[in-house]
Amino acid sequence: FLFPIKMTSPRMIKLTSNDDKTFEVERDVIKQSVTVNTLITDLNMDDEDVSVENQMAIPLPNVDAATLEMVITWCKQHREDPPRNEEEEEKKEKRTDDIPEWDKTFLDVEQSVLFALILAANYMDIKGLLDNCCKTVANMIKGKTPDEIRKHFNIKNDFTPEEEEQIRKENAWCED
Amino acid sequence: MASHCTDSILLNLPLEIIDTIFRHINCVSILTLRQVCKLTKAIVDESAGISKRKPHIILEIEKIGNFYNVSFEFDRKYSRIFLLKAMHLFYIRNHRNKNQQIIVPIELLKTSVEVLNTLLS
Repeated sequence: FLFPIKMTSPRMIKLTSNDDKTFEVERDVIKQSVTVNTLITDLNMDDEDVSVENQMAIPLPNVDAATLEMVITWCKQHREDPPRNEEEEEKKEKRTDDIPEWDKTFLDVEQSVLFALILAANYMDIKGLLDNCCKTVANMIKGKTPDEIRKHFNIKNDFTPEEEEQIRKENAWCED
Repeated sequence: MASHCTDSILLNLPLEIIDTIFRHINCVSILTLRQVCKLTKAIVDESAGISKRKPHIILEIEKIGNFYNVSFEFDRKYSRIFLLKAMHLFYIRNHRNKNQQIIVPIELLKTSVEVLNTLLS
């Protein structure tokens, strides 16, 4: 016996960047964004009777097209990740040596791109992406002297010599 | 986005994000960040609670036979790192001058030695 199998194409969602580029992304992929997920639910966009052509695009006024494209790529890569338990995450020891290899390569970009991703992940509320971006920046800071950190992040030293000496004294307890 | 009169993209991120980044950093790098600029110092001090508290307190250490019962509480965010560092200091100083009290520049209040043992095990 042959039974007809109902083939359903994945539900698609439209997202528009602040420079007016529209992306179609699978519902299952973008669910990692709490912001988008909440909008979809609140606007009843899961209604299967509405085709993607007739669907309203969700505007993301804080994210440009290039960044949104990267965010979508990251979400596709992590679509199978188990849901995060934020309470457990908060309890865990903070470490930065656990960034997945794929993410390490993906986040090996110019500072401006990385920081745009951080802002997008924060706005779209994608905890996993935000976390790995923050860890990447933390790794850039670790092991550097104050001067190296200033140089790396283009930070001006606004301490007076007296203030610098005072902080050095305050920190002396921790020096081996 | 906050503006801090700087060209640094890092320092122009919202403060809560900079704080999140700093929370991923170990004790030594945190203390290094205090020396980078006024803003990084302010964020670290605020986050670790240093700015709101007395800078030094005395830990309570009781000698029982060959063991020391150390009672203190530690800062909630950088707790483990500071605690381990404080313990390291405790051993160095205690072996050096046999003091039964040590002073550290973060607020450490009472907690049980069991917590300490769990963390150190």
